[in-house]
Order: sequence, then structure tokens, then C-alpha cells
Amino acid sequence: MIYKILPDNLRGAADRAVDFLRNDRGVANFRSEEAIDADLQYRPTAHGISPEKYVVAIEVQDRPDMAVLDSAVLDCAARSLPVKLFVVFPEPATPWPERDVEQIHQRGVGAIEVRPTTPVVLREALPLSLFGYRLDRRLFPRKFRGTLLDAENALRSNNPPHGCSILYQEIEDLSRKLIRKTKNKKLWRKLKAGEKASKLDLDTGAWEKVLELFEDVYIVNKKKVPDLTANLIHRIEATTSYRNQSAHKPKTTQERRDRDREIRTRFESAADLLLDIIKVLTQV
Amino acid sequence: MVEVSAEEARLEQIPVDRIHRNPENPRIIFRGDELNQLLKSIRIRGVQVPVSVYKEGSKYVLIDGERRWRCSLKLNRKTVPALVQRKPDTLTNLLLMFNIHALREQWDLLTMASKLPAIVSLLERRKGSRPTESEISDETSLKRSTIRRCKLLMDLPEHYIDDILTELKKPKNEQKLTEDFFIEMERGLKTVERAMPNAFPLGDKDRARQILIKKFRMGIIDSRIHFRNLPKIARADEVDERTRLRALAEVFKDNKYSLAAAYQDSVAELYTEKDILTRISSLAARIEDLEPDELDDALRAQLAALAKRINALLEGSDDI
Repeated sequence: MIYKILPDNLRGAADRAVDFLRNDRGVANFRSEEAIDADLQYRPTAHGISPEKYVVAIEVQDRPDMAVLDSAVLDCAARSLPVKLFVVFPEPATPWPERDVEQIHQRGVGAIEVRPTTPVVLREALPLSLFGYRLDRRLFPRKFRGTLLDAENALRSNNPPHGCSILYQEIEDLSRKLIRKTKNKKLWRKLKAGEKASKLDLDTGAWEKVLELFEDVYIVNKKKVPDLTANLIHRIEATTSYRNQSAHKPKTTQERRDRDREIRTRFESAADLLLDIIKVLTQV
Repeated sequence: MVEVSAEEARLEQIPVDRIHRNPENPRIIFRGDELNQLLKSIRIRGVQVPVSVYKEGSKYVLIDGERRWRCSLKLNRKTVPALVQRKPDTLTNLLLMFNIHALREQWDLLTMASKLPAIVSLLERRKGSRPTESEISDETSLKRSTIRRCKLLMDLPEHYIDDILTELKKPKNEQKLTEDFFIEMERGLKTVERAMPNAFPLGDKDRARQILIKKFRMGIIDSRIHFRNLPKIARADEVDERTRLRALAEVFKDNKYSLAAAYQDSVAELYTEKDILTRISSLAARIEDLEPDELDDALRAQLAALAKRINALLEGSDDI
């Protein structure tokens, strides 16, 4: 490829990283030192488009550091740009300290070391469109933090919708528990004359049906459980439709961007909802 | 000095993508850590000082401001402020860059050294005779000492130039075989070559150079300043030539004998004496100006102690 500003001594490493991503990962349409997005204050050394419609960008440097990239990463995250960014560097005589590489990864950036035989991915790049999500695990009781970590890891991996699914599963389990608990505590209204009790199993019945039953037939005592509002039940119901949606494959980077933005919003909303359910559970 | 037609230049905002680097720019190394500082500044404040370019067809060629241009491109800026000048001829183009850059920032010596032969040749063609060091200095704004340092580098065999280039690409604090290292070593070797050429192994200066580099890499020579011992040894005619030859020959052998040891074993005593003589002369001149009533107690006590030590030394007493 033709580079205008990349130092001569790094051009070989850049070309080899491009070839590697092209042949091993199907990244196509590589361009050198061109803008990813007109308004982004950053041009990578090269970038192409992956089959999943992510922009795969490389920043070729003589060492793994973030000096050039910190603000670019923040911009990508803030603007939900579907970018996977790798720092590429030639193999040094003595390996760079592990913590240097890890620090890069903590910011969502991958690391590729170009060795004489082949480039090696030391850390995978995370989609920066998903990276800037809002979630503070410390707000949750300890027993939920492991699940949340799993969800975060899935979100940042190659299967972001799975991150949401993990949270939806937890929401389902907790909402069933909540409904059962309110029933056991006799917080449901009494049946009217002639009204028959539902035979729906609260643990195994279809989740949507259980929620409908809870919302339409039974009303909890608002004074005892003030945060168990109709709004909360609607929010739980809304997740059931997302959960069953099958993800279509984005055809363009714009679709990928919209999709990731939606997944990020869903993930944040699901985490918020989970926290609200946990809070209500303590009131029951 | 080259005349820069600044009055004819006009200030414009020009697209970053239409700018190209100047093929004559001697500066070939842009260290990442140095660029990053500028990158931060431009990200926050933009390009405050216009770059200088000349127009060539539909593109613009940089005369000054390559780092600003590189950073602007990296930051995906659409345009950059530029002073657009008339296209200079080859010599003026080269001299412009020397005058603009060399006066303002610390260029790597090799950067300048690599372009000096071209400048000398173009100046020679212009004036019809080989330019003197002073004339080169006037045209390029480089100090004559800098020109001499450049010349030392350019006289090195080519593979050493490659070594320096490799080294220059590293951050400054990681550079070992630096330009200064080679300049110190070459100065020393040059004096030895003139004063005691038979000190080189089989008369081979490059072999001596290789040994010195190896010893530096191994830490046997632990500071490039120690190369200054080479001329001191080679030029100390007061010391027996065989002693000096032996020390130098040993230094130029593949062993663990250091330059500091060679100095110690051959001429250290002479230079210590010379040093003492210089200091005594200086002290004597200062004392000459003193009147007895100007001496305070502390100075009087120090002088008395010194007089006692000098007397004891002259009388051959061990009690000093």
C-alpha cells in the first residue's frame, strides 16, 4: 500500500498486518491513511471492512502505546462508530511488558505483533461502537456481578447480542421469582366471584404469559411494594420481544452502526431494569 | 544567506490531502514520541503557525512544516493554513529548508550531513569554485563546527551510516550508538591517525573502529567521553612513545582493556602534573593580588595549611 506519513521502517509491518487481516479474517477494501469518518479526528494507518461490516483499522507504531489513540477511541465510542482498532508493532528484541499490551486492551484496542514468520494477534480488538456502554457492576449485589461480567465479555466479543441475552435470562429468572414471591406473600388481589384461578405455572409457563397474567389479573399492594409499578412490568414485558428477535446480519457499516447502537442501548436498559427488579425484590 | 521571498507569499487554507512532502527535505526521521506532543497541541488548538508550501500543478509541496502537516493528516483535518510561495530552484529549495529548520529546531546531524554534499556541489556550480567552510556556513546558517561534525559523519563507511539511521529511529533515550558517539570516536581516531598511525592494528583504522564499537557495546568503554583520551595519548610527546604505543595497541585489541586504563597506564601522570601546574599558576596569580590585611581568618588558616603541605612535599617528608 502507499503511505504518505507512515515512517519507512514501519511500512513492512503495516503491509504484513494488512495481508494477514485480508487473508485470515476476510477484511476487504483496505485504504491507507484515509478517514474512517469525516468528523472523526483521526486517520488510522490503514482500514478495511470485515465480513461482519465492522471497520477494521490498524495503527502501526514502533511500540504498543495509546498516545495517538486515546481520544480517537473515545470519539468512536461516543459516536457509536463500528470500528475495531488494532495497534500493530514489529516484534522487539525483548518482548514488551505484558502490562503495556493489557493497558491497550483495557481501552478496547487490539494488539498485533508482526513477527518474522507471521503477525500474531496478542489481543483482540473490541467493537468501539459497543465499548462506551454504561454499566457499574458495583451498584449490584455481589452475587450478580459474575453474571454481569459474563454479559460484558459477551457484549465485547464477536457475539454482542449474547451479552443482552445473558441479562434477559437473568431478568426472566428474577421476574418469575418476584411474581412467585408476591403470590406467596399474598400480595395478589382476591378473585372475584366466578373468576377462576389461572393454572399457569409461574416457573415453567411461557414468560410472556406469566407477565400478562401478573399485569392483567393480579394487582399487588402498592403500599407494601411501592416500586413494583405498572411501568416496571411493561419494561419487563418489552424485553420479551427483544429476546425473541432473531438478529439479521448487517449488510452495510451503517446498518452495523445502527445495530450496535441499538444493542448498546438495550444492554444498558436491561442492566438498569435488572437493578430495578433487584430493588423491588428486597421490598417483597 | 538565501533570500526568502516572503513578501510574495500568500496565506491560504489548503486541503491537507493536496500537500506532499518535499523530496529534498533532509529530515527523514520523525520520532513518534516527538510527534505525539505536537499532535496533542494541534488537536486542542489547531495549527497556529502556517506551513510553507509551493504550488506544483494541482498539488502543493512542503517547504516548511512537515510535522504540522503529518499531525494534521493524522487528525483528519480538512485544511491547514499555508503560506504559498513561488516554486524555488533546487539549490534555493534546499537552502530554504536549512535556513528555516536548522535555526529553529535541533535536527539530527545526519539529516543535515546527508544533504551537505549536494549543497556543496550546487554552490560550486553556481560560483564556479569549491565553496569554503565559511561560505557554506553563510549559505546554510549552520555553524562551522556543525559543518565539521557533519563531515566527520559523512566520512564514515556507509554501513555505519545505516547503523546510525537505525539508531536514530529509536526514541532518544534508547539510542546507544548515537551520532555523538561516532563523532567523539572519529575525532579521537583522526588524531591517532595523524600522530601515531602505527598504533592501529596492521595499520587498519577501520579494524580499530570495529574494536572500539565492540568494547562500547560490551560496556568495556562505558562513556563516549572516554574517546577524548585517544588524542590525549597520541599527542603527549612528553611521554615515551613506546609507552603510548603499547597502551593504544592494547586498546585496539579485542580484549577487556579500556580507554580509561590506557590513559591511566600511559599519560595520566603527565596530565595530572599539567593540571596541577595550571591550578598553581592560577592560584599564584590570585595570591599575587592579595594584601596581608585582606586575609580573613578562614583564608589565612587555609593558606597556612597549604604552605605546610607544600613545604613537607618539597622536603620529601611523608608527613603531609
